[in-house]
Amino acid sequence: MRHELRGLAMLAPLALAACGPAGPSAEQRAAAVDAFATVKEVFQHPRCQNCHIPGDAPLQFDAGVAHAQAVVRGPDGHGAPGLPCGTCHGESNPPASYGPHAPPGAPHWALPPPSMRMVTQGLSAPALCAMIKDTKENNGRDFAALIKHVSEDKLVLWGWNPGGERKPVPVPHAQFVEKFKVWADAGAVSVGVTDARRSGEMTNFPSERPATAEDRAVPGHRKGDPIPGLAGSAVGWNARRENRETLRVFEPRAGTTRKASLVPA
Amino acid sequence: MVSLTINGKTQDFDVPDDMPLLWVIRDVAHLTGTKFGCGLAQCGACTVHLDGAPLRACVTPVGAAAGKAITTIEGLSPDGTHPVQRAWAELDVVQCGYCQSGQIMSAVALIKAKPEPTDADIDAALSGNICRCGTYPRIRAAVHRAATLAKETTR
Repeated sequence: MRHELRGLAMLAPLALAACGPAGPSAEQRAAAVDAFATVKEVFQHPRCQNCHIPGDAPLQFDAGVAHAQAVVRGPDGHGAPGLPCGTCHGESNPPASYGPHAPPGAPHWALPPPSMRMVTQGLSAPALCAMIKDTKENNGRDFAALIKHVSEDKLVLWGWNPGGERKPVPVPHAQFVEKFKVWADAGAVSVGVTDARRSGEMTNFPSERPATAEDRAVPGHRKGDPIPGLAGSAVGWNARRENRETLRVFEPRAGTTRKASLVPA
Repeated sequence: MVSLTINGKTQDFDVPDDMPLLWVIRDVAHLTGTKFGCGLAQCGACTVHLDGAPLRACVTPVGAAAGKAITTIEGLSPDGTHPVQRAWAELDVVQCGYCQSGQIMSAVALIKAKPEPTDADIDAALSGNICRCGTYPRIRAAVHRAATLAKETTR
């Protein structure tokens, strides 16, 4: 099986590039697009998505609110130096006798590292599809490695056994893996905007913004009307809704590089 | 029966595997320097080290700590002269004191991971340790002082 998949992974880009008879049939393609809807549902379930975020503060609970105690991603994804995720999140869920509110646990509890964020939050089907198979964004995983990750990784599997009163991922794990394989076996067809429109999502394209927009690292991702000043200069503000943290964006002269600075609320 | 190494001393404890480590440390091993605050890993009072990494003992089943090195506040130094303890005394950080063993254990973990922490590093590392007296400004100052003392000690 593994050899077959490796072969597929190598052939897939060629097939896609050729767009000829070597590509998936229309039927296969439709099945793959349909299967990808399940993949998306799982990847963007709170159990998975709460840590696959563009910013540096992980989320928690089904509502995906900012993690208590101002917990951060940290230099390697394992939390701040001195407060690693493992301080509270053990190797497995605590015994039921600890009550529903004790922190859950699974091996290597962490976020993706800051250099490889693997953001799934808020991505449209086409954007998520592109991210999952882009080895520059998925930590160099080919399809064999991706399938191994979704099938066997203990932290991934925790999503189906989250303990406490947390909602598990609603799609049965075996069915999810099956759908992932259907999509991968069809050469991981690119789910396009048209496919997404047909399936009823993306009516106003709210998630077409680049992933980095959420953490406001690049002021240019935001649009707005800055307040004009002298000699063509301008100033604008970016406020983060959750904590009212304010980012000041200053444009010395029209057309010059914008400078952003963080201003305490 | 669980075999635990607490502060360098290995001992067998006749307790169930799922008993919180904090219960064993305080009620069975009688090391009461580590405090119970919330029982939910929300306050940080119960922080100990497991193989050198910080851990909330109140939500850790004792079975998960078997065979690993546990360090409690009592194990930092035999006479209270660990750089962090010295800094704490020098700056008179403590008010009521209940959270302080947890604060100190987190500070030790931070300085170990980051020998010259900035204010932001301190805030990030100790954000899980709550002090109801609000001694945070002194805690932050003491962590800086401890980092300096630790450097002098190793020199």
